[in-house]
Amino acid sequence: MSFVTERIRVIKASCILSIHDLFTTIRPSLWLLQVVVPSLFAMFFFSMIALYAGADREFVIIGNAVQSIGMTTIYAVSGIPGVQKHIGTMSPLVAAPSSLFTIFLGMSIFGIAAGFISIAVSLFCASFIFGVSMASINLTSALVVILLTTFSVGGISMMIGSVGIYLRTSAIIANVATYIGLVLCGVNFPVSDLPGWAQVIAHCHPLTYAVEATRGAVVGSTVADLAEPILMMIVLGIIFIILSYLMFRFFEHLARVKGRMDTF
Amino acid sequence: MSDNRTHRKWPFSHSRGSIEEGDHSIVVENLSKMFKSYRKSGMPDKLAVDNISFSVKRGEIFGLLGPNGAGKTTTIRMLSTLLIPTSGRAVILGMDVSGGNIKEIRKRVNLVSGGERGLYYRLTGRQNLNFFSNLYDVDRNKQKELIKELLDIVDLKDFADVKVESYSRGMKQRMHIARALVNSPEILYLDEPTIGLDPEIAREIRSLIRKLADSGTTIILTTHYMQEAEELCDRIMIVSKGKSVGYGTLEKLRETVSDTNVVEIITNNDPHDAVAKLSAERDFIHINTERISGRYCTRIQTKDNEDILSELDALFSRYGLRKMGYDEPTLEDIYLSLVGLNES
Amino acid sequence: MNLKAVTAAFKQQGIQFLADPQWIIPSIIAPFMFTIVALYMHTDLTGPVVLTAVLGGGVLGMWGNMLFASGFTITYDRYNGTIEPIMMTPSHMIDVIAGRSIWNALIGLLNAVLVFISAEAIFGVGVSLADPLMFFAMLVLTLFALASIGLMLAALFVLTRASFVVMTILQFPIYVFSGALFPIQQLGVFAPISYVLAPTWSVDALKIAAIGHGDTIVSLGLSFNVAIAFVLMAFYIAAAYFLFKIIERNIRESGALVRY
Repeated sequence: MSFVTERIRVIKASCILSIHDLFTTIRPSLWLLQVVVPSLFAMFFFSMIALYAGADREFVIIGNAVQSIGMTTIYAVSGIPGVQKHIGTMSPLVAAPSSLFTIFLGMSIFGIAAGFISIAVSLFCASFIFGVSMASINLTSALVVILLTTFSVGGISMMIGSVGIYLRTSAIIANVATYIGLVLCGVNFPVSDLPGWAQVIAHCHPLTYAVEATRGAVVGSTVADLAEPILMMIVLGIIFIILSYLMFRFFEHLARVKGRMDTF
Repeated sequence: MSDNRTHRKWPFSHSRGSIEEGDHSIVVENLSKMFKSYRKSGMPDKLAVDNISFSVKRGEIFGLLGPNGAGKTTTIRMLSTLLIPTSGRAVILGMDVSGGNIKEIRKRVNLVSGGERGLYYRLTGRQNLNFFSNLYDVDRNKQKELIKELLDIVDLKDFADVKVESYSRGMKQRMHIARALVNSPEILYLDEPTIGLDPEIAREIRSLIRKLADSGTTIILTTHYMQEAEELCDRIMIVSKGKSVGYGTLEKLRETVSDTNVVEIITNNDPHDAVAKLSAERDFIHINTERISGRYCTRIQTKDNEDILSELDALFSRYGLRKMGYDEPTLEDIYLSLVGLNES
Repeated sequence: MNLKAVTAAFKQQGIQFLADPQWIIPSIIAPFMFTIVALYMHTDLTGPVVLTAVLGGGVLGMWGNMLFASGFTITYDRYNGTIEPIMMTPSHMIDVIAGRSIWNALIGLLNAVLVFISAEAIFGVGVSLADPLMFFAMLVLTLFALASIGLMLAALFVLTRASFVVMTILQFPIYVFSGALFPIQQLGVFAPISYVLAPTWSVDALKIAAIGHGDTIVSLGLSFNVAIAFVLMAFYIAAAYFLFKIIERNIRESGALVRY
């Protein structure tokens, strides 16, 4: 039991610290702008392209509302090790008896929660600013889908973050992952338009199911109707979290062997 | 730094001229700096430097001593044009730092800050020096030779083409000094230049500072190492909470604490309990114990004129007392005494 | 303007870039991905549409690179602790930033070229130039248009410790107003925002030189575009100059920039 309470304490302390740290660097209003403006303009940008290209505008707007999680959760969570290196706290964290993974899990919580806020706000904007009809939305399905999206994308984000313990490139990988999501996951055009090999990759990315399920929830599908994408998000989320744990251990070990704990 | 360099022509000679009235490189009058509180920090406004005055002659090494947050760095940053004084005047080489001659002042002064930051880590030492020498508008034809010379002076010529990120702390510090010499400054501000360095490198840097001063460079040095200040500085100002609490040569500073008695007690064992008892019961200016070469050296500063030796003898004898007596105040004693009095 | 400082900063940025070029990857990848997305979104994939998408991808590449580079330029000094040593020198900070902005704009252009080449390799779009000499001249104009707006942005970035956040906030608005992947006219009442951006005019001039016609509402020919671009550039440089003056003064008052 003490094992569990100790972990919870570390997670809680790391989470609180990361929130304090975030809001001493940027004002809450600026943070909110960072969450809202990019997703709002991404929706606007792609809806303009849709208009020019003769594509389905609502399809694109909802897709980009879900994709907004990339710019919040993936960037925030994957950037954590890099930030620790910059401010020089990586070594003391590694030297602490608590597991590094637990600490990063705690520090990731807010970034993952921000993803939830980001999708919710974006869907709200999709309706009120871009006029996407939400008349038949199934709120329960929408809530379940958004929660599972943040969970599964959070898993991917932590996996990318683990690379940052050893390499400088996690920011680059985060960028690439976000843009891959944009191209492959049915955000702006159906996955079925992609070549076969790309469709295989798309079906290993939780965002594909998130986008599909959100579109379903918007037109009134129930949780039961969306069972398949929901199940896939749960499975992929669990796989990515396990992978991120294993990668954390691996890169932590590598960093200790090569002495790259504070290289940035 | 190799010895053969002492025979080479020193490249930074500045004519000392005759030291006459007005021949001061730096004149500071009633200088103050108030920092407005940082938004939402909850901190009150801070008077970092409070009405200090001093002057520094050409070629002199002037020490600014004081605890952390006493205002030393703020003073140096005002003198190097990085900060605008809130009130008072600082005249550098005849030009006011608050006036319109900033560019001219900057051409003729430079600053070394202690610590590791202040160089481009992904660039080599030579690339760093090259960049900064261009910002100082050093003649392109002379740049190559100058950089070679500087690398030689700071003994980094073998590492000139290595990225700064792989330098040791001592190497970075020496590179900082080389960077600060690219414009052959007439005034060099050194803000804790030996902080965190091993004794040998610190000694080399001290000898470099001495040479620079000998060649006519005016130097203001801040340091926490009293021995360093004692060894290098011609005159010293001790600051505490932004105020000057002592100013002059070491002898003059000693005079200011002439009413302070210093007792030194050497014991075999740690007299921790006795020191704690004295701190609680007596109103000494300062009392501290240091372990030196396996023994314990306790120094007490007091304004009491009564003979306290017999009382101390009784107290310290049970710790294996080896030696006890009055001592001449060292710079450290003077510092602790003046700062201690001001802060109490 | 101190040319020696500008050149030194240009060179320094170049060396720095070559020492660690990885950060440019996002600004190459993003526009490339956007081009692919745009191409997939088009229901009618004919020659001109593909060409617009590919040219647009290049324009996005330039903008993205310029935004990230100007945001990063002062952040990098914060990380290295080199703001103070730079301020100590008799050179103005604006000269240093100008040199770096020119390098950044150059990389932005190379970035655009890279997008063209990759798109041509993948989608087989041939970009034949109507007036190669003029195209080159307009490329130089675009370089300076980007550098000047980058200079102004860099000044704004000096003011914030959260430059990465500001970059993220600005990225999509800039993509929208660049009019790269759809005609600016589609922006309706927001179109004037695009018209106060010098690169809009130089890129349009670039299009005129490349394919014989541009996109902007006011199509009075290439020389009109060039004139407008120059006026806007002069405005940016003046604005940057005054911003840096104010910033330098503020830093010297409060010592705030040294925090990071």
